[in-house]
Amino acid sequence: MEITIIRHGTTPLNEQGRYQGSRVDPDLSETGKEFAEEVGKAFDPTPYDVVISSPLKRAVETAKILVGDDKKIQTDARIQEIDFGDIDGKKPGNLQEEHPDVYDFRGLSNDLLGNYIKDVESWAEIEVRLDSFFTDLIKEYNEENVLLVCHGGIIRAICAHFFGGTLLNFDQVDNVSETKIHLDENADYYPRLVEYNRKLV
Amino acid sequence: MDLVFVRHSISVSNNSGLISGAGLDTPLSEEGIEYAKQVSANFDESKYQAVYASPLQRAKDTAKILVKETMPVQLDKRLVEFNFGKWEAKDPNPLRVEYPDAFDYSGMFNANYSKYAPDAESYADVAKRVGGFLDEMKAEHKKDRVLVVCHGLTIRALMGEIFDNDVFGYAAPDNVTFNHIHLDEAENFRPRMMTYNKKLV
Repeated sequence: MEITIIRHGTTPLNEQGRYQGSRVDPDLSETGKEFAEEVGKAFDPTPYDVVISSPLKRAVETAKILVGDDKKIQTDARIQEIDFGDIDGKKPGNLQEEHPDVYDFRGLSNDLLGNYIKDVESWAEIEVRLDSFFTDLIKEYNEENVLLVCHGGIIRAICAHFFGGTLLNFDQVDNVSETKIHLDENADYYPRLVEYNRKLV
Repeated sequence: MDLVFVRHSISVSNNSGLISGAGLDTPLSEEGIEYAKQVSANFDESKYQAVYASPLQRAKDTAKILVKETMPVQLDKRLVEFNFGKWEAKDPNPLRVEYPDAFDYSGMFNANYSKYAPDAESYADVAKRVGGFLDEMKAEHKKDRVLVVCHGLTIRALMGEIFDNDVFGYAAPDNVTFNHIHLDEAENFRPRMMTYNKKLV
């Protein structure tokens, strides 16, 4: 069983350096759409038996561009982006100065964000919904080729889910990049990393 | 510290499908040289402070093409491919029939192969030698970006050592793809997957 994961194209919030989690739902920007279309030309959707997108518009729009009109795109909220609570949609402001322990060398927030901002989804909570999602996915599509379209934070969490460690062990992938995980149905769905953050054009 | 592992370009043996490990010093094919040059045109060697390569010519020559002769390529025996013992230069197909439990779903050697291949290096043996190489990198290149050109199975072993997990959790990368790990000195060299099996062309 092979799972291919694509991160959505860019939106105006990406371009403005704002937190962009599950509470904000912008469309792709013009540049975001153009780049996704460029990738779409190089992308072959035919091998995929199942296409599941996060329900957020930036993911669904990217999925539509990549697979065209011939394939059904299901949505599942369990692969939507991290909920950034009170800071969702906002810029980090002084947060990095006030709480440098929250930020890594790339300026990405870690699990301590929730100590300072209300209602941020914890990494443990994300793991619960991913475990539920992949248990069902394996049960229903155990020998298929699955395409998921979702988000930067959640892709890191998906890799931590399969390979151990935490989000800290996986960088944020580029927009419209490809990550692939193979699950060996003859070996108890043993996970193997085939690609991480591979660019398609 | 950034370690960027690259698998050598296409060799004459890759084309003929024969098993080629440390015991077979097969050269790059015409196609392999061409492809390495194409990748090299998109590769910025000025970002790197050091370059290491396996002394096998397919790796050494790929490294030279990538850095366009601007930097010395340091050869390190610990980076050679697995030594496949008496199975070197053999056609793997009859072996897959005779020893089915030595191969994984993708037709690659699994942990059992060294039980059947006389004089072959086991996955555990290779883990130890690449571990030595990694320790040296941490000691000498704490703040550097280092290019390491070597081999498919060796890169899997390197990943397993870096992330302290199973070598079988990593696919062997394609020829001349980029496998980039960031290890931050400030975080005690915690490893972060930046890209795996990423193509430049």
